[in-house]
Amino acid sequence: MLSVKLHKWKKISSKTQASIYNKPAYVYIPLISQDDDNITLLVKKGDYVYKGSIIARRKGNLRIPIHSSISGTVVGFEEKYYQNGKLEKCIVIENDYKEKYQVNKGVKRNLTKYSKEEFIELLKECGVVGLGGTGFPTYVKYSSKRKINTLIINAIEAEPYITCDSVLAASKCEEILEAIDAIMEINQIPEAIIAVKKTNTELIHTINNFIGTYLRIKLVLVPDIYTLGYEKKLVQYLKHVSYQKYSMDVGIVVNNISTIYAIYQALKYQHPLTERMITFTGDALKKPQNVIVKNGVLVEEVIEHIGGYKRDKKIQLIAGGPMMGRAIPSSDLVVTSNLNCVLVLKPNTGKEVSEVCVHCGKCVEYCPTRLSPVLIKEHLNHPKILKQLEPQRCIECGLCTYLCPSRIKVRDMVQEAKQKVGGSK
Amino acid sequence: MKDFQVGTGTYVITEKNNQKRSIQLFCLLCILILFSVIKNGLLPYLSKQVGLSGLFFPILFVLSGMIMTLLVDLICHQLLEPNKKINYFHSLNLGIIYTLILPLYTPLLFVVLGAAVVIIFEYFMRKLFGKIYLSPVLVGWIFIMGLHLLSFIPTLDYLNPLEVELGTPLGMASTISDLGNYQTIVEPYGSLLDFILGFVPGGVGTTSILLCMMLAIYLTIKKELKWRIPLVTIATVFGMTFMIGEFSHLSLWYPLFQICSGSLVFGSIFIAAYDETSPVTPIGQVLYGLFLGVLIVILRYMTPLTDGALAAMLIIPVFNSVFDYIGAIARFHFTKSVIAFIIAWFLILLFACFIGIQNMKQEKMIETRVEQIDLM
Repeated sequence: MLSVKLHKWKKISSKTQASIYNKPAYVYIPLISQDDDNITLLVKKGDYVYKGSIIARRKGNLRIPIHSSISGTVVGFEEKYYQNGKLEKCIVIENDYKEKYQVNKGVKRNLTKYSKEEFIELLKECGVVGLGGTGFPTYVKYSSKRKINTLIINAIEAEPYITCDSVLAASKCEEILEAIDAIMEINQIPEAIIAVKKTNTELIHTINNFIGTYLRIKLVLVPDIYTLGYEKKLVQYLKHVSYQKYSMDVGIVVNNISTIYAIYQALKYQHPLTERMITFTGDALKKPQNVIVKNGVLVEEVIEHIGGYKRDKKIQLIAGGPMMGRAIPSSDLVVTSNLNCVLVLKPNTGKEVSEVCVHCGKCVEYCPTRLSPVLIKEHLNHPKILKQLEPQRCIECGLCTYLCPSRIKVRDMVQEAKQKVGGSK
Repeated sequence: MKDFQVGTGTYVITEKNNQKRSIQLFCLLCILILFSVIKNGLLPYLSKQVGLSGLFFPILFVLSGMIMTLLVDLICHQLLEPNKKINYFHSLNLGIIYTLILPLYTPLLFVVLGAAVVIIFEYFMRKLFGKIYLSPVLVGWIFIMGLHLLSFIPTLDYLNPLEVELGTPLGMASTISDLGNYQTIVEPYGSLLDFILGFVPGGVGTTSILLCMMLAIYLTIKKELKWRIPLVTIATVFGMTFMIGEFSHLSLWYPLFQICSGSLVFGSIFIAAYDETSPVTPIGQVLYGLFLGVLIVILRYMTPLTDGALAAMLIIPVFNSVFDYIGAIARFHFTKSVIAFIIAWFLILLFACFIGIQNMKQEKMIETRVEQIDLM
């Protein structure tokens, strides 16, 4: 299995200092969590909500709450675009600009003064989810009955263009290290590894400045190759173990470095996750940069705040990175915890038309999950064979489409196969 | 009003498209053309065995194939796919590979006709099946073999005078009733070094093992070659011929002679590993190489074909879907491919031993006959 270097385009957003956008007139909190719209609504029109109030809660096993990111009044419900490209129902809250919390729980001086159970409950109630893009509830990772031997902090940020993790980690390095130490103490984890790309010299330098006193935390430099940020591959690279479903099964917890900062906020201030740093970048933006944005803010407002678009005609607005993200038909996209990047590009589609597959085998050779995308594409109408090719393993990293010299959208076909196989089960 | 374009990702793509890959291959093949011109034109010219026409004949030979494939591609494209983008270098590369495997004495008319067949066959397969199951280059080659058999057109346009006397090494070896020895099959051409450098008779541009290997290494570094195919094919032929040679107490020179002769190295790099007619899965490629190697040895030793490499490369791709099916499943469950490997290893051992023993018997028979003659 090979990997591809995709280090380009990072400098576009990292050369400008990060900014904050915290004065939206309205926020639109989508009633969806990790693509699950089975949500219990806890507020009605006219209700006053505080910043951090629980306004909805996910049903089912992962009963994670959804918080208000501002204080103000619920004025209604509207449909806005979510990062899956679909219109989702949102709670509209009018901002009173007071940033009032219902209860001020104070500041915890010693972050380690939590039992494991309290820690898990805190993560759950603060709605801490994976900020790398998955939005997977973090408390689940620590709830495993198996002993955690290693905590891996993923600071790789493999996708091109995205720099929010690196910028946040560099500016909040002390807090992040303090949080890692506390997590280790609370969960009795003997070892922590921060994985950073060799090429990310600025972050390496910053971490090295602060890491000295934390003897159990190791900084490991990894090669700058795409898909190494993918959890399974990272665990395999760092610990030489593989697993089927969850890294917890082999005693390893992997957290994104921004998630660690969210945990810090929860441990220190008991603040729920209501804002995050997002990379606004791309060649169609006037001033690409990282912005700290509240959940529920419209992307359009943020783009206007940072200087707007370079052009009006034919632009592509992508929620997420260029590899795994999705083009949204409108800028009515709402910010959520699992949105790490808004990419605005001059579209490249149509410049090069798909050709006949030449069977170069690059999609097979490079697939991080060992799929055979070209064969999946060829057997889309043969369900029996398709099932044996296991398209459901696809993590939609997009490497197959990126590499295809015939410009075939291979990932889309694998996704189609994934649905077909899922449907035939 | 902003115009937001929706399209599926990824939203960045590699710069390396098919056109760029074809140009890269074209540049590499030009090195082989240059070698061919030196070997078949310049050297005979410098040794005053040919005149100016002889000097330029090799380049004319290759150009005729290239131009014909390009012309036919243009015509077919206009007739069948006028809206699609054409990749000129693809047809040029097919033309080059096709002409490089031909012997220099192939009449130019045959070369031109065969080149047309290469492209027409490619379009035909694509239109009919949406996929190419057989190497177009080898279909052109087999077409020429057919024309030679019919031989209603006078042959022998040009011969490299340096090659006239001996014929190809494998052809020479096939005339000997047993496996031969170093003096009878290698020394007439110099040494094994001449084989590696490529100064032995054979296809127009297939003889230089050193150059082919260098190009293969370059392509592998650039990740543009399914390297497992040539590696496993050559290793299989080497292993089998080593075993065969061991039965007749021939040393390491014998398997080296076998892999350095004929179109094995060139073919396994540029034809067997040709993207469209080779498996895409790594294990599929290994199995393909193993079975290809076995078939080459079978054809070389057990049929009247002297080389067998190109014929085997024409046949084996028919089984690509089987190799890929096994290869794709083996990516998750390696044990499921074990049976295919066992069959391959069994065939390797079976045929190597069978051919080795047959030759050993042949050798003993000759020895007995010689003794009888001596006694008489």
